[in-house]
Amino acid sequence: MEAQSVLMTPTREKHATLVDLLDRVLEKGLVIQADIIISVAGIPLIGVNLRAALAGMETMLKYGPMREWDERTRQWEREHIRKREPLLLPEEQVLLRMYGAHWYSKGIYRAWRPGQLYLTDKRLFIFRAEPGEMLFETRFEHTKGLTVKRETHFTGVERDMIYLLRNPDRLACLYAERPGELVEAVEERMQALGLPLDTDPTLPPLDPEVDALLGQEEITAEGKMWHKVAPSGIIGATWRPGRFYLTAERLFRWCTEERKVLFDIPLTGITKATIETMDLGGLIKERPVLCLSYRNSHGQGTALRQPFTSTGLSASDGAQDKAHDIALFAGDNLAEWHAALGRFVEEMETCPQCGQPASVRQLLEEGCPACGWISPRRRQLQAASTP
Amino acid sequence: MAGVIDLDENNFKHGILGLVIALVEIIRDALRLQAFKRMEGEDLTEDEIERLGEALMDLDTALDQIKQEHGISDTVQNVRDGLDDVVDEVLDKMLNPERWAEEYEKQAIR
Repeated sequence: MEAQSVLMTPTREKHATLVDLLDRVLEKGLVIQADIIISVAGIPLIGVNLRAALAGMETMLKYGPMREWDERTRQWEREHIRKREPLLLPEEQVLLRMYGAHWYSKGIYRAWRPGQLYLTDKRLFIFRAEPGEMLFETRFEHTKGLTVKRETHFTGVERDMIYLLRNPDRLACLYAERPGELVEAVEERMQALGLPLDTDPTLPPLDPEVDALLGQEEITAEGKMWHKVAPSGIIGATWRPGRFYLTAERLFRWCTEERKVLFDIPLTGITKATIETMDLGGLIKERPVLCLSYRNSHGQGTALRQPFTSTGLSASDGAQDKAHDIALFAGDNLAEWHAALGRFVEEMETCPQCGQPASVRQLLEEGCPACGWISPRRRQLQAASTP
Repeated sequence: MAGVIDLDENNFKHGILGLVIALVEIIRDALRLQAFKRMEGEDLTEDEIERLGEALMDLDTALDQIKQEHGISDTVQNVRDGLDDVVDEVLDKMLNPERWAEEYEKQAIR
């Protein structure tokens, strides 16, 4: 009997988890009743009469409330159920089903749209159940080529993208949970149907702009940096990560998600490249920041000049005029970028006589192109050489 | 405070995304338990049970996909363990008579 009394000792389950707690609360139900008056200087101004009940639906139904509502909701769902499932063609059979996504690009709207990817004996499509919509659809007769490419997402993660070429030359970019399995099944199905499938098609560019950019120029450096983007509309200036490319002619940021160039400056316009330590605000205190000052095309600086002056750089700095913009970059490889970009810098100074900006080299060696001022040192050298 | 908070973009992403996914997972787990209860109840039809199960499985796949893609499985697990520890600690303080005695003694010493 001794042993049995030990077995009967009440114990408490150790290691309760948050899910256990939530489950217990939902099972038992939680009722809050509160009367609140908010007053100022003893005068009641706002009254709150609060009644709330929170419980799992099974508990809620047990005590009565919402039973009718529960019935009606399920009734409505039953009536509209048809829309939730993709309409299959007559005698169509689903061969494969997995999680997938389609890169949707139309006008200014560009995004991945996730859904369920279906492979049937007649076609390949991605269907989203909630709200019901066919996101992408192609019949095998219209499928020309299919290939998987391993691409690096801008976060550094590699993933397999599926490019599907359709008739006439239209390219679709898809993501599938198990790309290998999908491609194999498509190939098998196309073969069974006696249709030709190009497994290594030449892909038309997703955006003609990139092709034009990269066709003529060679990329000399590339990497990820944070870039301070000028305020637009109601959005203030923010730091955004992006992939930057340096060619012999320009520095630009290519945004994979939006398939476009978001930042683009010619190297001949760079007048200054320095690394400063800046307080970036928030939790990030002192950080090295690459300040790149460049001649803009429209002759007017943007609001981004503001943080530059606040770091204590003097206003007489050559960059502080309306014809220049300043781009700020942060990241891990700033020194490399600084070295790469510094080679293109033509140092600017204002002419001490007329105040017009001109490159330092030009001012010291040739004189001011605007007013003809010549540095005293140069004048001495000239005087010495012509006695 | 003299500590340095090192926020680079990677651990920032891991932190925020990990936290969000951990919360979504906790809600999913709670929903799943409620779903089992409803399935055990007499109300739902076979069809509804199947749909419910499928929807929950889709959610699982989508979450796994996100975790895998961003490499945050460990972060999510850590956040969840951390939250569970907090809950455990608070409940233990409230429910465990041994802890009451400890607390009482602490106060008595003071």
